This record gives sequence, C-alpha cells and structure tokens, in this order.
Amino acid sequence: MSKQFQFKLVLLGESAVGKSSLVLRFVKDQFDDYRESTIGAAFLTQTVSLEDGTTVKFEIWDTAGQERYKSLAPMYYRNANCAVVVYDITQSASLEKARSWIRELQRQADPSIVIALCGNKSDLAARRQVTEEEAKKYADEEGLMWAETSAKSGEGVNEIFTAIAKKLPLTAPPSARAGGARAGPARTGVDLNKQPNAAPGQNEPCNC
Amino acid sequence: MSALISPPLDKTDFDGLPANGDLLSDTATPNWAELRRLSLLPGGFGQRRVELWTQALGVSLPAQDTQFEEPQKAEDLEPHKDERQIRLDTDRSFVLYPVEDDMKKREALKDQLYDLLVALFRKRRRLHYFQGYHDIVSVLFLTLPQELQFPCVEKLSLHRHYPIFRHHPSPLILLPRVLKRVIDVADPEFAALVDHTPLPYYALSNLLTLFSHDVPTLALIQHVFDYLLSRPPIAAVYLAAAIVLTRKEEVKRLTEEDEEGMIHSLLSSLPDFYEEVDEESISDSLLLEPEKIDEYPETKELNPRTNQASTLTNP
Repeated sequence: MSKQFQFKLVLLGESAVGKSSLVLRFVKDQFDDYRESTIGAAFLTQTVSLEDGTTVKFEIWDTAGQERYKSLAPMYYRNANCAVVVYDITQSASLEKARSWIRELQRQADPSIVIALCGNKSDLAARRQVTEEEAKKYADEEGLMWAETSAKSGEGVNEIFTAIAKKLPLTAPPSARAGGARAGPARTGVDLNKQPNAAPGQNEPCNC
Repeated sequence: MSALISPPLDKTDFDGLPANGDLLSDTATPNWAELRRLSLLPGGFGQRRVELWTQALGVSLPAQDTQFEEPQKAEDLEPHKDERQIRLDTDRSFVLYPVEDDMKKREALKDQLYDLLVALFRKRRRLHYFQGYHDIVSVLFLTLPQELQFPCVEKLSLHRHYPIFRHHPSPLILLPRVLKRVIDVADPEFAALVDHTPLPYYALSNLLTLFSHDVPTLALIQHVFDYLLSRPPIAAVYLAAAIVLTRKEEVKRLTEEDEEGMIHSLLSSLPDFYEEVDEESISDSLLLEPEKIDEYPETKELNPRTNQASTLTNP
C-alpha cells in the first residue's frame, strides 16, 4: 500500500502579492483577474502524488496580508509543517515584508518547518523590481527553498508545491499521519489559541 | 445645522420607543421599533431604504432650501497612513456586484470608492482602516445618493462600527470573544463541539465586515444592513451566532471526522439566503431569543458561490 501523508501548510506575505491566487491555481487550477482580499483566513486542501507512489495531502491555511491581521498569524503557523512566504516580483517592498515573515518563522515556528520563498507574478516580468539573483541569494543564505511563480499563467505553481512535498521529512514526521490513519494523541490541525484550561477530552484521538 | 453635527447615535435610546406608525418622533430620534418592524418585511426597507438608513445613522436629510456643508476637500488634507492598503483593496472590489461588464465603468466605481474612503480617513485621522471595511463602505456607496455617502459613512464609522475606531484592545479578539459568549449561552452543546477553537475566528469576516464581504448580492446585503442599522451594533454578533448555530449538524459530523479545517471553512461561509419569508424554512435554531434574533434574512436569488438554487426558485 502506498504511503499517505498529511501536512499543514501556511501562506504568509504582504497584502495583494497573490497568496490566495496561488492557492486557487494549485487547488482548482483556476485564476481570477479580480479576486477579493482575504479577511481572517481561508482553509483549503489539495493532494499531491509523488513519483514513488507517495501521496501528500496539504491542509492549506491562507492568511490575510494586512499588517493589522498579523497578530492572528501565529495560530496558523504554530503547528505548520511548511510555510510558503510570498512576495510580488514587481514590488520590492513585498520582499522586505517576506523577510520579516521569515525572521518571525525562524524565531517562533517549529524548528523543523520547511520554508519556501515564492516570487509571484512572474508574468509581469516587464515591471520587475526584484531580480531573481537577489531573491535566490537571500534564500540560499537562509536555507530556504525558492521559486518564481505565476498564479495567472500557472507557471511554477505545481512545481513549488511538489518540491515542498518531496522536501518534507516523509520518513517519520512527528505530526503526519501515515496511511491516512487518524492515530496518535496530538491534534494536527490548526490549534487556534489553545487554552491551558482546555476542556477534558479535546485531545483524545477520535474513534475512526 | 450641518448634517455632520446632528446628535450622535450612541446617545439615543434603542429600546423603549413606541411601535406606532411614525418613524420620527422628532427630527433627531428615529422610531427604532418601527424601523425594526420594517426591516423584517420581505425586501426590508425597499423603496424607503435611503430615507431610513439616513435616519438610523442619525444623518439629517437636508431641508429643500439648504445645502449640505461641503466636506473639506480631501486633497487639501494630509494623506492617511492606510491609503496604500485602501487602494490595494478597492482595486479588488466590486467582484460580485454590481454586474458591470464595462471595464471603464468598473474602474470608475473603484476610484469613487477609494476617494470616499480616503476622504473619511483624511478627515477622521484617528480611525484605523482594516481590510474588509471597504466592503462595508461599498454597500453604502452603491445604495445612497452621492451627497449622502460621506455623512452616512462618517456616522457609521464614528458611532456604529467599533473595529474601525479602536485599535486596542484588538477587535480581532474582542468581537470573536463576545460571539463565543453568546454561543456558550445560546447552545452549550454546540459550544462544546467547537471548544478546541476557543475563539470563533471563523466568523471574523462576518463580524468585521458586517457580512458585506460574504453576502453574494447587493439586494441581500442591503436587507441585512436594514436589519443591523435598525438595531444596536451588537446585533451583528447575535446574527453571526444565529447563522453559526444553523450549522450544528454539519459541525457534529465534521467533529466526528476530525476535520478542524473543514469546520473553519463551513463556519466561515454563509448558508444560502432567501428573500421571501417562508416560516417553515426558518429553523428553530435560528431563533436564539426572539427579541434579539427575530428573523433571518432571506433571498430568492441564486447563490453564485455555491451555485445552489433556493427552494423558492426551484420548487
């Protein structure tokens, strides 16, 4: 029987860099020229099949980009296995914002988190403000995966998510569930501000 | 008297007014009971919406021989720190409505919405813009004549919608916290089901945007605003609770399947709304307390997000 894994992925990045559009392309292979801003956070899933028969199900948390929503982000990255930090290649300020997200993840997230830096809107290369060299050099220094993508054309989108799936520690990740079984005592979903006085029973495994 | 200095809404009494026919007992105090009654009729305020929203917001209609005081021109005022974010969001506005195929007209609408928001924030510099406020303002923008847009948006911003004028404590926490209390009291069994997410952040979009980010048609969100504007601001929290509680059976099933993410998706989306009142279609679970959640907004229209037709259009 082929192996099945489930990983939590969080999208972070400045407002309007295309986080939701990247997810829409990856999950539904669609693109909207006009897409509303995300309020709070959205949840989606998508499964990737690797060449060796392994399947990886991503549980994706797509977050709001405005600074004002920043205080919510830890709820979504706290137990994440991987993060895609997105910038817009036509806005150099958005790379600065991506750097600040990466610093926060390196300080606050699980130390084993896989981080991918993603330069979106590669179809707008004529208006480029961030060079490939600059972004790649930064990613190499920080040990991050890096790619440019276009949610509009689809270029690079499946590739980056597949690369993340391959990079994730598939052998025995602490929070992934082999064979799709719901084993283990820990909840692997987003723990939205878990409280110390949590009700008894909330951490029990389910019966399936 | 300037429309902008009429008595603030928060000094008026929401209760204790007689439910007789006159909407205005005097020029400053609307008859809230009558406004509420009208808000529950099919179609809500209908043709009287402009007049009644104006009253509910405490904006005086100008006498025929007087003019509104011209607000100071926004271009004469210092830019506000949130203007870049406002531009990013208004550029992505008017996605669901109005149906406008002419790109130039759509762009013009976005520019006008941007100008309206910028005028507000330049004049009221201590307000804090958040993503989603543009959705609220777009509903007023599409409903009211141009001369009433600014005074009504200003009233709403200063007197009714707390997240825009308070930065601390964060409305991101406070509104969900109040919603959690309401759900705890209204349905302890449901509250236990979602106890692993102590604060209902799934409802953030509905709470922060007064449902305007997610309701799919202008006619329907106008009716929701009829309901909300004729009640105290906390009514938005009660309405959010009533909607969440309609999902109880689905949440039970997802809890058994250990699908936390799907619970978030379910509870952050709206059920299909119907405009015509069909008493039997209103679930008991919608009626938290008749005084507070007295009706459920409904619409005949197709929900474009789910492509599900209502039972009324497909009997």
